[in-house]
Amino acid sequence: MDEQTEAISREGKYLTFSLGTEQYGIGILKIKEIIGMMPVTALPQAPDYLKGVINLRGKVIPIVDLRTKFAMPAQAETERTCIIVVEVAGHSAHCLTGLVVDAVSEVLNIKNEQIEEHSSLGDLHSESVLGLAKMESGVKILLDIDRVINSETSAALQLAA
Amino acid sequence: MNSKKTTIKTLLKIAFGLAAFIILVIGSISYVQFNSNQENTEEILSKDAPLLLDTNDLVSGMLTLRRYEKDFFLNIGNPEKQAEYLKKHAADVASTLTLLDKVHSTAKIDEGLTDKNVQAFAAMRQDIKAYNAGFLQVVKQVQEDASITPQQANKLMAPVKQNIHNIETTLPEQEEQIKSMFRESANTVMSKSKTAKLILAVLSAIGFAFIAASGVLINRRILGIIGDVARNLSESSHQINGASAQIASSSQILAEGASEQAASLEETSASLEEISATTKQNAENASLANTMMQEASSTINTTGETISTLSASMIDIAQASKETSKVIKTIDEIAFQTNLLALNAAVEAARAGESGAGFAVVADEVRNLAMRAAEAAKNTATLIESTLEKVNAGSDLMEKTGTAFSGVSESVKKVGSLVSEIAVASNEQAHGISQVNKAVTEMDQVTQQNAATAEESASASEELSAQTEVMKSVTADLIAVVGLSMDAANSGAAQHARPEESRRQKTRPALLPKRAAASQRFIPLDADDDFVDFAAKA
Repeated sequence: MDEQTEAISREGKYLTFSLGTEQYGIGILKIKEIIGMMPVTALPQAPDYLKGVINLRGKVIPIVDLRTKFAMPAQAETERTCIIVVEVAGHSAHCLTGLVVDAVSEVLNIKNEQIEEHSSLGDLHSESVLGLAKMESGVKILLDIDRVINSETSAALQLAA
Repeated sequence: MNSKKTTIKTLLKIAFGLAAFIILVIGSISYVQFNSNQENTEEILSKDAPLLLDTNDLVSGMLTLRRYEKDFFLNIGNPEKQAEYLKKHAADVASTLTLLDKVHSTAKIDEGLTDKNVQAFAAMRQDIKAYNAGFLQVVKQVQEDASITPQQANKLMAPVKQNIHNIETTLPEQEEQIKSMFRESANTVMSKSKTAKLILAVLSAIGFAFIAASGVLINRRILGIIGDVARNLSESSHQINGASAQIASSSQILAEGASEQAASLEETSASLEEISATTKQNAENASLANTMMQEASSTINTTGETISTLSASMIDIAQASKETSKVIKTIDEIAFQTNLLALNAAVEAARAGESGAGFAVVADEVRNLAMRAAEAAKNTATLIESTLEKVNAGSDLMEKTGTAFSGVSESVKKVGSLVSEIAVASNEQAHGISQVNKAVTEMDQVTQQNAATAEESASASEELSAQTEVMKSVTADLIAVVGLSMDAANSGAAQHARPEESRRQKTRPALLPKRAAASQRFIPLDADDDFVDFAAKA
């Protein structure tokens, strides 16, 4: 039953984006907004993945560089570079966080049967990854964004917010 | 080698000069001698002889004087006869005195007489005067006193008898002295004449010997020279005969050559006319080519302008492409933004749940449109990029083409100038060829003349040959005149290799022994003997 629920919960619409050569997906309900790249105000003594903060229509939100977060080589911003604003379940309340990605792709409706368990991959980032969606255009790594932005980060994020 | 220098002229000059000199010397000496003799004779004739005659007359005069005196005395009593004899006596006294004066004056200038003689004549005059005075006194006494007899009268003459005796003694003495002087003078003249005769004879002998000797020498010399000349002439006539034959054949060859040359010249003339025509064609073609080149040049200039215009157009195209590229970028931007908006719309629709399903579809469509727009923009950008590349490549090509065309233009200009030069050169060539043609025509004429001249020279050489025959006969005559035999002359001609030596030895072996010796010094006689042998064999 529990497994069923999990499976049901994984089915749905995902916003896919690219980091390097890989395609990732985030559950669409976690997403607040997609904006183009804009000037980021860097914060002192922040961890390296925390790029800084932006002012989004009066709200200051922290910006996380997913490449740095995933220990990928840094890349210069392009015209396609976007910021995906997500609602992360924090300690107290949902807080908004901006994720810098290489490019936003599309909104995909992923069925349950298209999702593969990631246990076969081992322990590697098992916490962050919900599963792997086998699509015609390629495999999409579905992320559990709450776990990506985990407690240690969220504290910093809250500090930043 | 002096023999060559002494010509006949000089020889004759020397000979006649020598003869004239000898005659002059003999004549001068003779003249001097005869002049001296003449002077001596004149001396005798003008002084000595008259003196002698006058002295003789004086003696006879004195005798006559005495006779008249005696006649006067004998005719006493006959006054008429007395007067006559007195008159005669007076005349005789006067003539005797005159004669004595004459003798006295002559004796003064005669070198053969001394002062004594002169004084004697002076004393004689005194005596005569004294005698006359005494006689006249006696005459006076006789005329006054008719009784005086001739004996008495004769006695009356006693005072002047001494004077008479003086004269009668002195006069013969003087006469004798003058006679001896006359004889001496005559002897002197005679001896001088003998001397002159001797000198004349000796000088004449010497002169004759000299002239005869030189005549013989010169005769031999001249004969030798003329003999040489005759031999040379004979030899030359032989050679000229041969040479004239050669000239005749050469002239024949020359005439043939000239006619061949004339034929060749005609061919050359024809060829030249062809060349002239070709050259004229060349010139025309060159001027035509020049015109065409000018046209090509203007075309190339036009093309160059077109190319530069095209280049500008390419630049404009590149500019426009860049502008378009910017526009495309803007479109791409818009597509991107639209995509973002569509995604946001999809997110919103998902949040809306079931109620947002339709909106989600719209959002998806919008997103698709945005994606297509982006794709189109991307394609357009690629196209424009390739267009830009092509335009750039075209520009480069244009530049190269422009450079090439300017090169072509320069080449065309050069070609044009070359072609015009060719045209000018062709014209000059045509001119030159016409001149050459003229020259060839002249050459043709000259060749014709040459042919004629060659024929003339052939006939002239024949005439020369005939003349040589004449010359041969003349030479033979000359040799005969000189007194040489033809064989000697011919042998001289045969030995013309060494004519000097052989001639000297044959004609003047004795006359010029020194020279012969000198020649022997250079050419030994043995060798000459060999040569004589060779000549005999030949």
